[in-house]
Amino acid sequence: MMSRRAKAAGGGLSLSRKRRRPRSDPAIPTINVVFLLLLFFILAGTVTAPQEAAIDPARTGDGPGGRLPRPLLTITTDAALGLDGQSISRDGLGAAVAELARQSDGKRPVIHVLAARDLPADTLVWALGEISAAGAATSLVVLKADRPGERTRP
Amino acid sequence: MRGAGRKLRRRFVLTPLVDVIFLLVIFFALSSRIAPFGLIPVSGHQEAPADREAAAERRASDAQTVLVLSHGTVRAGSRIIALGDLAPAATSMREAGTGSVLVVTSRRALAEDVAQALNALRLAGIGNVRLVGRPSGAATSQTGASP
Repeated sequence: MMSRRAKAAGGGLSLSRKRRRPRSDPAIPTINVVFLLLLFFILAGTVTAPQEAAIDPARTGDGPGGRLPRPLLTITTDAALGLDGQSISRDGLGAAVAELARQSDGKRPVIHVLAARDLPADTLVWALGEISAAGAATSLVVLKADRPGERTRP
Repeated sequence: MRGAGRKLRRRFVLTPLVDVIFLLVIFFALSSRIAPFGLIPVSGHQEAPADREAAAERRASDAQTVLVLSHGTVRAGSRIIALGDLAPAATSMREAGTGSVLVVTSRRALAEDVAQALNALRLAGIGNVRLVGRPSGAATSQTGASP
């Protein structure tokens, strides 16, 4: 039994022409994964200055963790200070905090202190005192760990 | 005129887009920190002056305990408490009537010890904690740490 098209073609066998679908680029799955990675880093991470990334803060064991807050005062183990990535001297800490307080439109700014875990406590207490004296509130930034003292890669 | 009516199909070129995305991923991977950070309020978090006055009155009426902070331990009178056990000890202190704690840091205390002590006292519900540097240091006193 011949088909109508075969009959029209004079009795010969004709194969129906398959329409070619455009082939998708084989790199697209890779691009999707890279997009997801990009989204992850943008949403979960905080862009930090190299000086801030080098600090290994204290660990405590409770509560939910969040992103690295701003404004951020960093204190390294050798007591070098940095405010939002800019190095400042010990003498300039009060003036830098007072400047932030002036810019905050009458509200008391909160300075977040990220101190190295092996910084002598005296230096930390001195820095907290200087910030309070300059008119800002302070918070200590810690790293959340399951057990206090546990090494967590920052 | 063979190709006059045929539409020229342009293919979307992905390579430059992928290059830029790769560079962005490398930038964010190298410059971000994705660790979970927490905050321990230390000072100045009481906003209203009325609250400040109430806290000052409470401070005057509360019994005060002095804790000497060293590396990994805290001394309360003659009792030495490991920092890991400070939260339950502070809870029993609060239940015994202590409403105010003075934390004095010793020469051996580190920033991690300060953070753990403040966190333990906060968990124990002690409303008023004062943090003071060791007496030999240069004017290093600090009040606050109100949860």
